Amino acid sequence: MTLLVLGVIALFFAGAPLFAVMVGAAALGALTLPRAFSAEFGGYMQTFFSLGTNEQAQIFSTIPLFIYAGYLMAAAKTADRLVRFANAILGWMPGGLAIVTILASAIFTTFTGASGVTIVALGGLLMPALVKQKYPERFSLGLVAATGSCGLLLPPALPLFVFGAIYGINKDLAAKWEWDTQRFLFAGVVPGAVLLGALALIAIWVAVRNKLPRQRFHLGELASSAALAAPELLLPFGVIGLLASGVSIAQVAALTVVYLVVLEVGLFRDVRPRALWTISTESLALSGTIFLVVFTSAVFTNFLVTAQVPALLVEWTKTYVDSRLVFLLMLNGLLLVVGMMMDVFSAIVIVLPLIAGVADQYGINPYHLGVIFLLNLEIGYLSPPVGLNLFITSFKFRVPVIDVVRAVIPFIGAMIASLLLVTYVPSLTVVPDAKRTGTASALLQLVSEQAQEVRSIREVALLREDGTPVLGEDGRPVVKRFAECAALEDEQSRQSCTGLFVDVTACGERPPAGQTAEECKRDVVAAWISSNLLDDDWDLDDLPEEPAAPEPDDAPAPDGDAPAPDDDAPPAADGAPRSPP
Amino acid sequence: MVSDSPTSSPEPAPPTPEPAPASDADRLADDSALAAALRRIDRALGRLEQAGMVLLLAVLVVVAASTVVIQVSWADEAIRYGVFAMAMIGGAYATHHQRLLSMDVVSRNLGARGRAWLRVVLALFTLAMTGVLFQGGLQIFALQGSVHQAGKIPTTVPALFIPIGMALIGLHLALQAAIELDYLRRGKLAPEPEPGAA
Repeated sequence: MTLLVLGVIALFFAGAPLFAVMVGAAALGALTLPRAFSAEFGGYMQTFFSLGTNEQAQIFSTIPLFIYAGYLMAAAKTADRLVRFANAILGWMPGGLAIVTILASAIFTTFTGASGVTIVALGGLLMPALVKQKYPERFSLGLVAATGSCGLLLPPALPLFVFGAIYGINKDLAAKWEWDTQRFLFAGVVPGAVLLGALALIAIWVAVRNKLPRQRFHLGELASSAALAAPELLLPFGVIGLLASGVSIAQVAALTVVYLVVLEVGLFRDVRPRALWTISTESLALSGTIFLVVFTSAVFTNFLVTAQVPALLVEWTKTYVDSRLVFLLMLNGLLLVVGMMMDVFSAIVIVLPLIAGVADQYGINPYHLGVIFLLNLEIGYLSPPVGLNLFITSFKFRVPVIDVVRAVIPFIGAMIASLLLVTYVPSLTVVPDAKRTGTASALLQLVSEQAQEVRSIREVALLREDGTPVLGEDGRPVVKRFAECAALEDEQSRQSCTGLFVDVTACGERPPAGQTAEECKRDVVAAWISSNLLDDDWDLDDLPEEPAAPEPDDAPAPDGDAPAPDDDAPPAADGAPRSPP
Repeated sequence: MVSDSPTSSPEPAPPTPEPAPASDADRLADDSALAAALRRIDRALGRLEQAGMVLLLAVLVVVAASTVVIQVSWADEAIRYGVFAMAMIGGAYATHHQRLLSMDVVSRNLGARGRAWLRVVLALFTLAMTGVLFQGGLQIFALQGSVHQAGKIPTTVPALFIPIGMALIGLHLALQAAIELDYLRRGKLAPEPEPGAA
């Protein structure tokens, strides 16, 4: 087994697809756990399917739609129009064109997500312009490389959605912190502005120090460039506005694509209708690879949780790190290294499930954690020796990587300063109130339904009324797991089994009058044991024949009318007594 | 996030030429009859997947955008299940283009022949893992049961796309590994996938 594990690790570093590595790790892990492989891995697959199809899965529609929108903008002359407008409005300032580069790249990256696209699409346009305006070549090179990833904190950047979806897999943490991806989209706005501001300060300083000539302000040029750029320039604001007004993410993403197709194909005619097919080649391949990693991460995360890896990490960290500030510093160090080694999506799906629980132990708000996480990855893109943007810039402008490394050092310094500020001033991470984004009653209903689901207890130890545990064949107390129940083939057995968790959860939330939550849970479990032990085949396998299982006569009638063992038996989640199978 | 641009390194005798960058034209130039046939199947599958995804994308756009003005009971499910189907087919499409996310810190230190063998090993490993997911997908499909609510899309529909997607991924991997092995058998090197190209 050790050899197999080492083999999977070796294959990971040798370039095996990340999804295969995660499945391999989870499959090997499932083999080592006490339950049968099919039951254990079946539970993981249930999470895989549930992540992709449950009510919250609408969020994933943004992945193909926004990627398509980003590639559509890259194929059109959006970059030219954005730069022309930004130059007209900011070119008169010291460092005007450099600030234009920063802002245009940030806006562009919010849609393209993949930072390499920004460098290729905008760099070719802005780099010669910067040099022409006498900005030092090294500074220009560093600026173009650094701004290639600086929009990832701003909505609707794709990593925000992926982070939101992966964090939501851990339902306990998500419920505890009232996690909502739609709210998370706004968390990076202020930190993103801090980052852009820090980069702009460098630009202004360089322009002043080098006494660079400023561009004259022309009202006519501003008006004409604004008229041309407005349809695309206003798009991010339109997206944010629609989201804030309660329009669903899927609708906003679809409207964005419709809007851009009408604009680029119909109005500007930058893109021919036939090119829409060509654009799909690149964008759908990227969507597919992201999807595969995101969904298989559910399998991997489920394994990690079952094997209690995050809990062990929490234990270890608490032993050696007792300060929140030190933990945050360590977290930043770790994430910077991760950002150098992995692309943003791989980093999220692998590292987030491991550190989410640890961060929770230190009381770090997940919205704040998300901002720190993504900001680190942005810096990682730029960090030597293996940051991706270094290589893309080197390739694009045909300069040695070492020159790019030298050029980006001041920008890395500014980004790290922003990171420290954002890390140690959590109030910079501003998240809108949950109620404000949900103007539609449907949203409230959804939240209510999801809250019920995410609060569900996932494991229940089977204890009789006298408190003695029901023992399995191996002599150990039997613990029922929700994933195991959800994987049962027989529908009646599945409903009955999952019903136990619903009822136990209801006890915790609304214990009946005169009972504590614990008493209520004990009664529910005892009633469930007496109702289900003898007529569920899956349960008979787990249980010895000797323990005092109730006589068949004691079991409630199949119609569910039989009284509960206790008059004060708690209600089911819906307030009605739960029927046995 | 590691750039995997091909690098030259000393190669044991007999010396093997560095493969030319892959393009549609030169990919076929050195293909044997077998490799060409396998590549045609791989491409045909890729085109089918692209067509399926574009169709799903169009449906997704139309349904999601129309729900802004019209309320349809099945729209939400159609969006979720459609995206899930796109995800599974998209995984296959990304496999066709050899665009799966990975971290490569080894192949840059290998010669061209070493990289070719490594690609075969990685394809076979990935194929095996795809098989595990395929089996799990069948299990999930079987679990969905036959009880359907009126006006609802049966969950068997999205569940079916797990085995379909995994089968397609497996097929692409098998075809690509077979092409690679065919080249190695003939003492040649297959064109390397361009990093980041689709």
